[in-house]
Amino acid sequence: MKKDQIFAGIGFSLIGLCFILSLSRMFQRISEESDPKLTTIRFSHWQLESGIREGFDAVAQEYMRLHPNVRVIQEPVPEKIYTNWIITQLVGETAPDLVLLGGVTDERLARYFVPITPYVNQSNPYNQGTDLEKLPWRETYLDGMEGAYNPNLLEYYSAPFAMHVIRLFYNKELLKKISGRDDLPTDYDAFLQLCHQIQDYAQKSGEVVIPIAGSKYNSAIMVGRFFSTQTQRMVDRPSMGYLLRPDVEILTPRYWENEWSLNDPEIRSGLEMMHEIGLHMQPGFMQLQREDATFYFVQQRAVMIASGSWDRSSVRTETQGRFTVGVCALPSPSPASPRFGKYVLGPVSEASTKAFGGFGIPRSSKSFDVALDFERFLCSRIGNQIFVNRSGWLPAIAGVKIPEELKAFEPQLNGYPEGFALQWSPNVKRVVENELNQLYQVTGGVDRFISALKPKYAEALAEDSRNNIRGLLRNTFRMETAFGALLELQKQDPHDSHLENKIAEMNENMVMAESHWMRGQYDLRQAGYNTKP
Amino acid sequence: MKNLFLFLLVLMGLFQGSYATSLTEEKIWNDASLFLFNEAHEDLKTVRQQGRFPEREENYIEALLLLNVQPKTEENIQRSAELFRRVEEVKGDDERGIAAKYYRGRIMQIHQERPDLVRAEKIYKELLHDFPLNPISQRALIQVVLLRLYGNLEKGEIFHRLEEVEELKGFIRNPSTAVCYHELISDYMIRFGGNKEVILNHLIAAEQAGIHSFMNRADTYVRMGMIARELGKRDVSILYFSKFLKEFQRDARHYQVQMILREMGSVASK
Repeated sequence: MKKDQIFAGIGFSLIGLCFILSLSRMFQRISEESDPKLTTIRFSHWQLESGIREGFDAVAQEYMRLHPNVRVIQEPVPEKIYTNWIITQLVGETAPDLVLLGGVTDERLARYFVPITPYVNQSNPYNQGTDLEKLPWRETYLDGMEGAYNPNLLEYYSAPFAMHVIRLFYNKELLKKISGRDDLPTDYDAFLQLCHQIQDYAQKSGEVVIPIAGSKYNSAIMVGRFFSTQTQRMVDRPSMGYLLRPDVEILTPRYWENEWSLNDPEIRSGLEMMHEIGLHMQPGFMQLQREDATFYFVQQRAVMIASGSWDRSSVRTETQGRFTVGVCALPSPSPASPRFGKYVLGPVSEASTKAFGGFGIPRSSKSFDVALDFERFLCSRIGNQIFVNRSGWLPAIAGVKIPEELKAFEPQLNGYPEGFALQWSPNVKRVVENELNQLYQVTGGVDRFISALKPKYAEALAEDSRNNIRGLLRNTFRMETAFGALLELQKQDPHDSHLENKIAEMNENMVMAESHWMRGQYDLRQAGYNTKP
Repeated sequence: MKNLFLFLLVLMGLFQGSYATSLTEEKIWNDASLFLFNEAHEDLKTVRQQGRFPEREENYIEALLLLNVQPKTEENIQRSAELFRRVEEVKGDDERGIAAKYYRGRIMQIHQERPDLVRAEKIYKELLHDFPLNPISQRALIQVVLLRLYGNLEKGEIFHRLEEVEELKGFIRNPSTAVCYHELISDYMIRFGGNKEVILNHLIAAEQAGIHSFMNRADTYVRMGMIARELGKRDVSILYFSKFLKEFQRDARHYQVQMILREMGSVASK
């Protein structure tokens, strides 16, 4: 037998083997699912961070113990292909019974998923025996389930199961060795002092170590927060709408009307902070990815890294046996700070942190009741406690005990709202990011950055404003027919209070969206821009 | 082979038939209420083949759906206008007739390629005059307010526009219209500047009518508290800030509002 024939034979055998294996898996699945005594539900997600699959598994095991006739199967899918995968599954009506929602448009939500609004207004049976037993499910959430509410569709499509906050992770041993400290300072000026100390140490010792591991992703998390401490007081100006929070639809025309500018002392002060912090990250960090920054930190070439609580388990796993990781809130300047305190109201509140995650139930699910029941269990006090204990993520449900090692992630409730960032919408973000090298370069600085950004900023705001009003008009169109349909449904059931509320809310939203669309057109015209792209 | 093909055709026909009989007007409206306009339109086509809905009803449903069937085309919009016109032609003073007239106004105002704001406003005013108590006319009233405030607005006209809408207040017949009316005016005045006392009164009127959207409600409470404080109306400010604290415990502004109340010496801050 010739060599080629042998290789071809091996190749065909392998293909054949794979085919047989796939076939047997498929038949096994069919036979399991056709067992009339057993209901199988599947749930898919992209949370491949360490500990999360184990957390879901632990919840599923407990659920199966309570319901021996149900089998719960987890289907983790890599984040990069998740959206495409899930769209294919939804179109083919082969989607799992529970789908972690992310990047799903309103149109797809409405088309492929069942709203769970009637159920979130009922109590969760798995909360029986606790102080939550009589409350509607949504009121058992720390955020009142606000994060899951879709204000365009006026429905809930999923029940979130976790919460996330931004924190600084630091290498305890390295910090101690360099500074003699056990923890990080909470005040910005002291923090900056520490960064200088680390750089001096690196220079003198010749060790390759930087204060903060940066990347486009990680640096944005950190410097964005620092910048927005400086605009806290600007938001409270009467011209900003008396909302005590930044509103893009007010900020944008106010910029064109010169109510605020890039040269305002608050803005310059925020940029100064960004410049200072940027100098303590590795050179060229804006070109680096999230993984590069994590690698720097894990390799002990950076003392600190800023990230979200979602990275906690992964960071812990990757650094286990190498060094101890400490966690603390991002430092902020106090109002008493001589350099940056003038424009600060106080520490930033995390009170509005919205619950995260949540599985949607596709219309194609053959086991809607069981899928909903499993979601109720996962998002009950007992189920959420199991998940939190194993995953290391923060709970979404009130009264779930936060394990000792997660205490540093507990949201800071006593604080003030953030001010605004410079980049709040896609085109503005693009022009700001394009010029950030002018700010972060050693030879660069605030003046160079502002000079480079200013000619492009107003136009980028206009571009985003046009996109915004286009979205508002689209919403107005869609609500027009949907609202008419709701009125028809109400005729068939005039006493449905859910429907009544939904109609009243949609009416308010529709009118406000339309007024903002019309006002947006006026603002663009007055600033000398086209209202259409 | 030929027999098998015929058998399959019959089977498909039966399936299609049973699907069509399971379709109801409720299913169509339900899909439309969930923004599934194309699905609802397809269902309507199936039902139409069976002639189960009266022609006027069918025209009304199709006209409303065509406003959002994708892709949205000018042809669809003009067909929708024509269908609404036919509905109105049969009887102009019943519920369907009034709604059809309102939607013709909406088509002129925002849906058609070249809006005709003057004719749209004329339609709304006619509705308001002829059927002042009808809920559709109340929506027409809000459209008049929107057009008067923002329609082709120029800088020099801002305060004149406000005077124009004040006179429409007397036509308000239901709480939902009251909320929208007062919110529109207060929002306009906050944006363009105006008497704080008047703004506060509009906000109070909106709140008393009962704001349903929780996001709007939170913002309204904060605005009332802030403006009342600026006007030196301590009690009013404390009242609405306290309502905010009670209803929106997880709002990022919660602590700041507590601090403001503390500065004002209110016990509600605790």
